[in-house]
Amino acid sequence: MSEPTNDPIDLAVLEELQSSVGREFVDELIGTYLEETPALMAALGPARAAGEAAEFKRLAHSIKSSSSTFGAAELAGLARALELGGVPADGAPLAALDEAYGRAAARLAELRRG
Amino acid sequence: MAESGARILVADDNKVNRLLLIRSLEQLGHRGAGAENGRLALELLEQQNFDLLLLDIAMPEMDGFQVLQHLTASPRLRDLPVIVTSALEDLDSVVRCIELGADDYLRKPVNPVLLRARVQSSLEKKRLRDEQREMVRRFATSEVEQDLERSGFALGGRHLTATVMFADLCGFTALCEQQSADETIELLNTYYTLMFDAISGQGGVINQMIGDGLMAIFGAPLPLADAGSRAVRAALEMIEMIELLNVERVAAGRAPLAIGVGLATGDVIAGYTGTQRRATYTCVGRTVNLAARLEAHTRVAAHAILVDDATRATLPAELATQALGAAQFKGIAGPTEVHAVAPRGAS
Repeated sequence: MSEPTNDPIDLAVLEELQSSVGREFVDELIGTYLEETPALMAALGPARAAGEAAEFKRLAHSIKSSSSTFGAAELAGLARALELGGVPADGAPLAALDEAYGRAAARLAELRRG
Repeated sequence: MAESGARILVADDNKVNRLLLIRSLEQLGHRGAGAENGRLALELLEQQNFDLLLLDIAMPEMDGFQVLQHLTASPRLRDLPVIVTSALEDLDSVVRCIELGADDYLRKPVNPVLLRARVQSSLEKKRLRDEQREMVRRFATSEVEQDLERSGFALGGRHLTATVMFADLCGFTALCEQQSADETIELLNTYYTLMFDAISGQGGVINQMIGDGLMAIFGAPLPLADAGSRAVRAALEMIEMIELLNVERVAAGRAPLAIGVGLATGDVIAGYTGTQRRATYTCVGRTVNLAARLEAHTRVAAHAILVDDATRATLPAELATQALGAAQFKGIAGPTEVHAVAPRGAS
C-alpha cells in the first residue's frame, strides 16, 4: 500500500490533463467527479450484498476509469482489483476503497482551489 | 464534413469521461453530444445525424455490445463509424466489438493525440464509404439500390446468367485532341446522360465508366426477364440517341459521333468486390470478356451493335440480326459466331 507521505494524485497525469484540455475545464471536471463518484461508491456495498456481480463490476470499472483520468493511481488500482477480482467475500476491500477515495477527493479539491 | 466540424456522439455512463471526451472533440474542431447509456445513444442516433460514435462498453440499461448489434441491424445506422472507448483491459471485449462492427478502439483515459488520429481516420473512412454509396446510387436503379441497402453491401459472389454490354465512343481520343477540355467534359456528360437513360430505361445497371467507355449488366444484381432483348433495345436506343445528338453537333459545325456496342449473354460471376470500406459491384467471367471483344470488333466489322450467339438466340423476330460468321477473339477459346443487330427502320 502507498506510504502516507505519497501524494494520492499523480501530479504529472493531472498536469498533462490540464495542458491538454485547459486548467479551468479540469477544475470543472474535478467538480463533476466529486459530485458523481460518491453515488458510485455508495452503490458498491448494496451490489456486493445482493451478489450482483455484473453491476458490481460495472461500478468498480466506472470508478477506476474516471479516477485514473485525474491520476488517482491508488484509488484506480483498488477499483481495478475489485473490477477484475469479482464480488469480495467481506466489506474490507470496500472500506479500503472508501479511504482511498477520501484521500484522492481531498487532494483533488485542494488542487482545484490552488 | 471533412476531418473537422463533424458531429460526434459520445456514449459513456461516467459523466467525467463523457464531458472530457466531448471537450477533447470540441478542441479538435468537432461538435460533440453526450448520452449516458446505450439506449439513450440509440435514441439520439435515430433522431439526429451523427458522423461518428464514441462508444463505451460497460454501461447500464444497454451496453456497448448491444448498441453495436442494434446499429448493425439498422439500415440507416449500419455504416455509422464507431470507435469503442473503454478502460476494459480485457482483449476479448475489444475483439468482440470489432467483430460486432466497431471500426477502432481507444483505451481510456484517452490520449488526445491518439483520439485525434483515430477520429480523423474514421471520418475519412466514412467519407469514402459515403462517396462509394453515392456512386452506386448514381449508377444503379432504385431496385438495385434497395437490394444493396438490404444486403448491407455484403461482399461475396454468385453465378448468374446475364447479358453484359460494353459501349465505347469511336475515335474519342482524336476528338479530345481537336477540342477544349471543357468541351470534352461537356460531351462526356451529355454522352453519359443519354447512355444512362437508354440503359436504365431497359433495366440495365451501369457498373463501370472509364473515359468514354462503359460497362452495363442486364440481369444482375437482380434477375431480369428478357435480359438479352432488353440489352439489344437499349443498344438500339443508344444509337438513336447518338444520331439525335449528331444532328445538333453537325449543325454546330462539329464532327458526328459514333459508338460501338458489344453484347454477350451467359454465366457471369457477380458480386461486390473490394473491401468492406470500399466496394464496387462487379461482373467477371468469359461472358464479360466476350462482350468487350465484340465491342472492339465493331470497328473491324463496321457494324455498330454486335452480339454473340447466346444473345441472338433470345431475341424476338422484330429484332433482326445478320450473321457475320465466326471470328477468333483473344482470350476466348474457339471461334465465336458474331451477329450484327440491324438498326431500327433499316431493312
